[in-house]
Amino acid sequence: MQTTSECFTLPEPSTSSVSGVRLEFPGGVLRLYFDYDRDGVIYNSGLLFKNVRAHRHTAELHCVAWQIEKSYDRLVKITDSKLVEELLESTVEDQRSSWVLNHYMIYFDSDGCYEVVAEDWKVLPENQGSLN
Amino acid sequence: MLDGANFAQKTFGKNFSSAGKFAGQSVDDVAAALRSGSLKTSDVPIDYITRNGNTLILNTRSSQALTQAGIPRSQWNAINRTGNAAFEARLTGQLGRNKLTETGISTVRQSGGN
Repeated sequence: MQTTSECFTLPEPSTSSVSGVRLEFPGGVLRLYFDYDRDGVIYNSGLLFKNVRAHRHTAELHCVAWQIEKSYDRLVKITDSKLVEELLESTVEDQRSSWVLNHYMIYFDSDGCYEVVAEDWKVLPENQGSLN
Repeated sequence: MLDGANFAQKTFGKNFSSAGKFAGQSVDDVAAALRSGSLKTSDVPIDYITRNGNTLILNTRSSQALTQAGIPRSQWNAINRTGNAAFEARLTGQLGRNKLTETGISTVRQSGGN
């Protein structure tokens, strides 16, 4: 059974977003940028994922309830992940332990759910201003 | 149906989500399209949920566009999503993150404004 543990909560509600979410994945490292309103001032920040092996975005309309319930505005780590299990099954046996496969998930209001299989993550510094 | 309905968030972005029906458009754009007739009221659905007697609107930007266009709530294309697990989860998220009770809030402000 898949369970989740909380890693990080967005500084402000994703409902206050000005620019939506921007995903950048040149390879290896994936960055999710977002902005938000705090007391009438717009700030931006992001999440960086290291050694990314898979990722997917599900638009809001197609998200299922458990994704929203578990990860609305918060990054969670999924244990006993079906996605990781699928990745391991499709990997040649001698390479299965070559990578650290942690399944992370976060849901942004109006945008949807982002899932990343990566070794680790960190928060990017906060800056004033929108992403645009 | 939506007379007296409240919002589940305190602020809204001026642009619609890139993942939605009005991707690439602003609230002002959609309001202008409604005023000009290039968009019909029925093209801008408003999802709502009734929770413990409170009616709460889920599509804040769409409702702002309809309001800006001067279309009364009685004419909105309101869709009852009460009981749909995904919509209910979204409402719970909106209320919780915006530190609102199930009553919601009657007014919203655009992000970045005071």
